[in-house]
Amino acid sequence: MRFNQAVAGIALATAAALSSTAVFAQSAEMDALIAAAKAEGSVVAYWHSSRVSKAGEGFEAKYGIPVLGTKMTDAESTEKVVREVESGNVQADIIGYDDGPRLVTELLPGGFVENYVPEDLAETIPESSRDPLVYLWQVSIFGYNTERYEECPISNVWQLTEPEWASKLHMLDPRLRSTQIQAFSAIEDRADGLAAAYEELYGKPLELTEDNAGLEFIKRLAASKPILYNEDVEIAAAVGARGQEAPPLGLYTLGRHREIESKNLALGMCPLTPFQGINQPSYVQVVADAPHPNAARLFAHYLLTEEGAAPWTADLGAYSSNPDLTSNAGNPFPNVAEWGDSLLVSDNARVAERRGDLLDFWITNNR
Amino acid sequence: MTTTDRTTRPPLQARLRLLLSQLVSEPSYVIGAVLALALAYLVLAPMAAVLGSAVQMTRMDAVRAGASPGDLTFSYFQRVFTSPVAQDIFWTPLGNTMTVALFATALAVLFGLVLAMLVTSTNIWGRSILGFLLIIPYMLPSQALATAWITVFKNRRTGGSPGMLEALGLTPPDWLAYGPLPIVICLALSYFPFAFLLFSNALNKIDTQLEEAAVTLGARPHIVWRRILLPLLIPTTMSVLLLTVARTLGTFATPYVLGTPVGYTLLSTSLYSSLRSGAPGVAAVLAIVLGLFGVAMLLLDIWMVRNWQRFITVGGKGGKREPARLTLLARFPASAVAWGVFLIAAFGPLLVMFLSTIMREPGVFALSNFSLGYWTGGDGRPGVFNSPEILLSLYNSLSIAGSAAVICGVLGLAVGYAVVRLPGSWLSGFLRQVSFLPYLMPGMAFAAAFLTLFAVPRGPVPALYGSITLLILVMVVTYLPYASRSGISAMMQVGREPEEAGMVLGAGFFARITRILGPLQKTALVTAIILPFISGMKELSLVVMLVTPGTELLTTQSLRFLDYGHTQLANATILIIGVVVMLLVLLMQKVTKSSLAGGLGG
Repeated sequence: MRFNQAVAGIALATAAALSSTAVFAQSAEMDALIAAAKAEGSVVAYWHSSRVSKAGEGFEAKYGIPVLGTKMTDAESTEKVVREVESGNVQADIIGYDDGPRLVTELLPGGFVENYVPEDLAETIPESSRDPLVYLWQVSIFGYNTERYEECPISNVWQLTEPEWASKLHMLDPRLRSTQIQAFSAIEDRADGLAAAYEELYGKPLELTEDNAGLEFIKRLAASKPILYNEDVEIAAAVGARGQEAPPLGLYTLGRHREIESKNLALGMCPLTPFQGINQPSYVQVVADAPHPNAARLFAHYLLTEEGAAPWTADLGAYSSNPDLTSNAGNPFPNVAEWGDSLLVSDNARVAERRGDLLDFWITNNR
Repeated sequence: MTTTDRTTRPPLQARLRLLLSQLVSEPSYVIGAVLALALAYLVLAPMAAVLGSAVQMTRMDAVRAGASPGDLTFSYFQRVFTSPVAQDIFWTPLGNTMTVALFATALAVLFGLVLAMLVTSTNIWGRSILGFLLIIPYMLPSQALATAWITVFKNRRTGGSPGMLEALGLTPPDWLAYGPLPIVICLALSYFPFAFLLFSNALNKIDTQLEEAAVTLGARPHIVWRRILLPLLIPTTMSVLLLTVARTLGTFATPYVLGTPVGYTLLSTSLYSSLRSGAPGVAAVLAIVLGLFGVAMLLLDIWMVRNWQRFITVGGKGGKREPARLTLLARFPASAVAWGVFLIAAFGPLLVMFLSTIMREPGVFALSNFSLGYWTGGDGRPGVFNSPEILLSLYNSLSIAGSAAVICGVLGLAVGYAVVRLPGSWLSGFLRQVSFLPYLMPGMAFAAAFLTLFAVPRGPVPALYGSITLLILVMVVTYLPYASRSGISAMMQVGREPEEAGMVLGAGFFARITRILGPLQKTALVTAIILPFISGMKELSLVVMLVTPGTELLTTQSLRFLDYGHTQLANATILIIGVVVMLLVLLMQKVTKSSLAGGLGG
């Protein structure tokens, strides 16, 4: 994992230097794509995020091609796309999707969607984000109350499992949100790092009662009974509300920090070892036998440009997978690469294999 | 006409010809058959679909297990009943559900009985207005009391704005803020009006001559109650118990709002989280369990109707009971109890919810803290009157519940017509029972069944999930019992004679319906429409799994607001529902010159 990211970092730096020339070199192909897309007339998008409508407006303004975007959950879009492709009556052209494990085990192997990486960006986008193509990274972090604490009261994730913080971590419910299970899988992958962090904190090696230090951590975290939520808006509010004597810590998307002003919250980010949050990818895929394949490809391309990504990346805590694009000035780091390995990134295939077991592991230890 | 002579059967041809001529002149068979088919599809097919999805591999699980989607599997049953997580998914929630249903029902029946006794048979102060005030909790959506409770007792365990008590400096302990105790209290307070209505109704129907005879023979009032009135109330008590238990089993909003923060799960909330976490197979198994409870209730109901009928023969039209004149010493506490229940169950929650929507910071009673901001907008956010979500969901609620109610009313009368005109036939029995089944089916189970059936296209029926049609359909089926009951009893009162007179004068079927039956059944139609409309406006557990962005209703929108920590907007939404429903009830009482009790008549 760490090696991958190092490679990605290097690739990214080189790509950044080359990218300006690359875009112009490909313009003939781009022109052809634009012409074909315009001939098709429209794009139908099933999307994981309602902001697709905003991106669609920009796309129509630029290319004159309307985007019919519908927000739906991954379960819904999977069901629809599978039915459409199987019945030969395909309506959707392109999907925006969160559930990477499901994508790589069901939709891609089943031939329901195709991975398309725009030619001119193939070198720019880090290899780890190319197959399946990531268009957006969203960062979740551990946050604390800046009114009560001058700096984060903990420095190591193992402290979350101490009695002092029992029932004082607020997070999304793993029974309802698959992103938490993906994070657990990444935690398992980081078992060695967690064991080292334990020793660093307590000065003695971790005594395992489970197969690895990752499971040991999840077990102790579950046993310390975090408060669980459906939506992370409330987590940020619970952590950041002013006037609290013993405010909790929270695990929520960094984007919530945009509400610090409007909701008068006192929120800060915890720099923890060995990880300080989660990096959650969102994917874009072209549907197999899409009625408007070129318009779909052009839209995928558009999402990886400054204006196409802006509906998401103009906010805190969201990054395009195209490292050349800017992000919100309030972000702790200007691009994904600089977060280094401080964020958990899960492996889709491994999550697909482990998620049932991990969910049960959580449930049985959370009693 | 339906009694065929069994001893000498005419030849088949003659019988068929007779049947055909009967069908032409008397379309009740056709109506009955069409209704039976439609009901079979809408009530029984969803259940079959749930059974199917409980034993068939989903695509996701098939990929993992190396099987193909739709393969037969018992893994979902194993997961629910015997796996290591069975305790968390099923057994603990089952125990919790039983506990909550038992205590909430007992409390609700007790409240209902005592209040009915006080209001119908004593001279407590304000007894006539209490008859209306005490059913207000029934007119509020089921999450009203739960959100009002949260507004007052919420503590630092959950985020968002603090609860009123906490804002005043008192931090309520977890056991008071969340979990079984508040769930039982809230459910009892929201379901006692049922018991109250049915007991009042029953008490008013008991022949007062029985009491007078006892009093003449020297029986004291408490002897009259213990030996005469209470035994006569046994059938009512049974049906109240049944209805209340059926409702508490399927209830979703209250345990969701008050149980989730402390991990107190009921079967309904476990079903919801199974579905949300992408385990439809597990959800189907849970729905089957809830459905079995429903079937058990239906069988119990049939058995009771058969066995307790003898008690009802007593119900003649006696004189109106003279209210017992309580001494001042007894009158004061008795009145206090009745008014106290009203204050706690209806006035208090409404006040709390209203207050929360006009205060900037909860618990600060300074004049400067009051503002209409949550209603009119301002402070950089939209208010109730201009929030696109609320306006959309208000429109959806009105149009969905409205169309469902109209369809329901018409269908209900049609069922009534078919059942009454085809007495004794198996078709009549089938219609009666199947149209009543949804009444006792826990809402969550029914919704899960509909979701399974209509999530994907099946034959000529397209995938309805995400459409308004699905919501209308599920409401029509679920509220049909109200409408068909009122339709059956209304049709009973109209003999065949007016219709036969019309036939003699050459009126066809449609002329008879529009010129004779229609005008006669105007009132019944209004009741058969308004009752489903009221239920539709306050429905949550039935629709919470079926709404999608764009088809949100007021009730689901208020839950969404609660999820996002906007307690004030959630409360405002519930108040809107309450006001609409109360207006409807008043309208109905004016039009039909009767009370809600007559229509509910469980």
